[in-house]
Amino acid sequence: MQEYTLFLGCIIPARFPFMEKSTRLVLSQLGCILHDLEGATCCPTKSIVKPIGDLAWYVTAARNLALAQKTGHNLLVPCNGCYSTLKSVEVEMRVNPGIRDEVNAILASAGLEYTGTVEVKHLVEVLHDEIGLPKIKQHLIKSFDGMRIAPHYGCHMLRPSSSITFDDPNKPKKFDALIEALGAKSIDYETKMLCCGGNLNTADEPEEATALARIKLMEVTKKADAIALTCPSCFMQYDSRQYMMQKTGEKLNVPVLFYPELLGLAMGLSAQELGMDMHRIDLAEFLSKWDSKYKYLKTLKEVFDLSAIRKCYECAACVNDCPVVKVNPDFNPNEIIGRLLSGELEAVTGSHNIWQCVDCYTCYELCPQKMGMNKIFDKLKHMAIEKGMGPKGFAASIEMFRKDGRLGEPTSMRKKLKLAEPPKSGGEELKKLLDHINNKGEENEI
Amino acid sequence: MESQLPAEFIVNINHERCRKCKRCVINCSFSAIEFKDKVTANNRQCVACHRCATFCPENAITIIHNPLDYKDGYNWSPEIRKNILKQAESGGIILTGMGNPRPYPIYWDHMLIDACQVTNPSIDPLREPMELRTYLGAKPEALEFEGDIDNISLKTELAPQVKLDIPIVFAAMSYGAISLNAHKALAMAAKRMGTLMNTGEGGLHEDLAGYTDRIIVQVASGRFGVTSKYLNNSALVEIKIGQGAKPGIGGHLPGEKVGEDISKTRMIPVGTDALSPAPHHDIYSIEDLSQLIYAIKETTDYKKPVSVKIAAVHNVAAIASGIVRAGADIVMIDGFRGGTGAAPMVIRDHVGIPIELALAAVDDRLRQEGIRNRASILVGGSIRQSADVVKAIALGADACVIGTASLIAMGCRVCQKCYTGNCAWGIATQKPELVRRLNPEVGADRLCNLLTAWGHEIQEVLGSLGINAIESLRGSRERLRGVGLSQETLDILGIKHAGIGQ
Repeated sequence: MQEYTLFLGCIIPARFPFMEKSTRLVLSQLGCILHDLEGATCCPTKSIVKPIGDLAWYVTAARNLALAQKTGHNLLVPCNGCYSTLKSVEVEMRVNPGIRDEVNAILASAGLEYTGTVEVKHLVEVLHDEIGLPKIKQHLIKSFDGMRIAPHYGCHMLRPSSSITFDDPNKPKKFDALIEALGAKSIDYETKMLCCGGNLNTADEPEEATALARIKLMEVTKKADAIALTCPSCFMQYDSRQYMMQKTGEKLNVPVLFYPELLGLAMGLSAQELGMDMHRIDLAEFLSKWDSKYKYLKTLKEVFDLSAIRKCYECAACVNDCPVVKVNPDFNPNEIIGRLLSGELEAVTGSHNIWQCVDCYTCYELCPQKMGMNKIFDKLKHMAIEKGMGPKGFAASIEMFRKDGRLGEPTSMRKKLKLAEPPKSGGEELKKLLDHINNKGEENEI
Repeated sequence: MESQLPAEFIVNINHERCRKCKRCVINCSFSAIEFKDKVTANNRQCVACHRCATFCPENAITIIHNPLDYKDGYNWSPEIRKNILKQAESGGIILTGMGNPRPYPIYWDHMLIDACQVTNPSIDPLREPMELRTYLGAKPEALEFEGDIDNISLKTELAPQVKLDIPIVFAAMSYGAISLNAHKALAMAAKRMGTLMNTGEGGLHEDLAGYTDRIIVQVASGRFGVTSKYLNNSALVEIKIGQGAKPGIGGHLPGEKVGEDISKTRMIPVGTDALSPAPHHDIYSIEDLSQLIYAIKETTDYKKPVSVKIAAVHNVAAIASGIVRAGADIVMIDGFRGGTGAAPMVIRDHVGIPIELALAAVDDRLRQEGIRNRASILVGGSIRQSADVVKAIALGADACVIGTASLIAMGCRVCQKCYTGNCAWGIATQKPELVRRLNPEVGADRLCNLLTAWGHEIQEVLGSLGINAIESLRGSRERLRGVGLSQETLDILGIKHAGIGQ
């Protein structure tokens, strides 16, 4: 059982209480006990308070740390800005005895002291390093399989690396891992590490702030279903500012998700429970896409080995070796597999294309995984036959096979060649065996 | 944080030849190759398993050691420094796979085999029969016969024996450490070649039910999959006390590798770690060991020989003597170069003694005590070639076991990453998409080819020695000579220095 003191900062309780709601809900489901920090103030925000004076900045933060120390539990911080400030001061107080003594001398007049016995932890750090991916995976009820999420770390989750060392400041991995733990694909994109631009607002440059936010949103709208983050300031940039852009006619439609919301949804909590209807950018489209994807993949998984088909689709090394492609450039087996994954099982099963796979095994022999597209086509053909579809010539042959157990009758040609009568057909016996399979009523596929 | 360790290998891609088929990308199970408009290497991830280079249709890939050299230092060697850097980053024990690669002396390479000239004719194995057959199991002190010269029969009751058509057995490698396809290949090859495979401590998968007369079933400290049916479905039963690669420590198969099938075979829940304790918790003396040996003999109705496997350690001769007196029919000694799926590097590289010395010491001790006949001796721990087999048998072994050599035959490139579960060759992995890469039928063919080839080579050597049966060579140390060895080593090996005659 893990216990933490929750430090929410100013923006979450004041402007985005739903972030507090989802944080509390998911952490309690993961078995964490959260304590509140009585008497807490602003962390304080570096860009606003530090210019007042170094000491004011240190003392404000150290006061929060000293209060936390009294609770006896490490601080858990879901806001990037608060985390960066508190962590910087915590480390400074530990490695720099001069500052520690000076700050503690001032704190002493309020009867407080910070000796460094509690540590500051980011929500992502706690989820990844302390609760751990296996435990999170155990709580999954509805996976985000098939959804593409763009991770936005935000500068202050990772920087400055003079104090923050839980992940790499330029090539971080842990937030990606948390997203992938929910079954989603955490996409790699060019502007992944780009700043949200939030602090430009405090510098009276709202247009520049919008311009910076727009760059990332423009890329994400093309590449992912949503953006995920853990910082209220970044959220403000991408959700509120995107809403303003929408009002002026620029519709980018990028849903913005606070990570505990994403986690809560995967754990089976509803969007209402999580307070997600308070987002400015509507999430309905995202949620319904997720729901239909989830249902579709569930059906697909019953028939196919999904991870194998995905690898097969990504690889496509054998496509140029397929003999049918050489005579019919319109036949693209890889595209058929892509359609299968994107939700077109029914259309693909009904299409004539699947019958163009000629069972030559070329793809299997050249497949590094010894998988081969032919296996996928085998299944699709079976599903088509089950539904009474398939080429005409094919249906006649099946009819003949079911009746006689053979695909051709001996003709007078044999006599000309002075061949004896062929051995008798075992069609009757075979028919009984095949009826036996049908009577069992089980799926004919192994 | 991102590792600051330099890449060990560099993957060079000849973009002029590359036709962007991406086969290398899908083949690489270590994420060392990506496709970003063109094939790009992530050198730090490369383990030199050769999978990409082997399957590139254009031969466009070469893998080289990173020429970025560490500054010279015989004492602070690059490997030592690399390990310190790794541990400073991780705070963990360094795990590794396969056998000890360090440059300790290899005594096999300091022993030479005799041959016949002029006065004692050699034999041509292509023209005359040459026996490689041998039997594992306790042999009687003497033989008594009944009846008369025309109708003679054996009066002495023989202990159970297992016939080997070739004195080379596949080493214990568990289903879990290696894939089911690898296990199937080993079982099929053992059957075809008239030898044995060993389940290791992971139990016996039901798909191998048809091979039970060619299977050694192992009872290890975790007792995974052990039932009376398991013990009886075997050629012989082996109690595993120790392993050459990791003497004195237990085993650990991480939960991620324990899927549905392994869970059934090992009889543990899906996803739980399979922990083999360091000791058997019911064995703290030779008497305790004897109880287990006889419990197994009772269960198998005294029809199966019981083997006890130990790692070669300092006191190996006395331990082996105790094992034989405890009632074991076979003693298996695993040398300090023996392989493993996963072991701490510090143990693999620094604990145990060479198999050559251990074998000579055990065979000597059992002879001196007059109990050599009561058990067969099997030895393993880096038997690399047929010559090693011949030398081991001349030193006193009944047969040899091969683990790493058999994996190499199936395609292993000895990249030593068995513990990651990412084996690109489908051998030391449980990932279905990787396991599929190893065709059991092809694997079995290659294993049979290896044993057939070694068999022919052993026959050639026997012919040159002027003997026509492997059993005539056993313990015949007079047919070996040492080169470049100290007197003390020669004394332990019980052989003369080259240049000394009869």
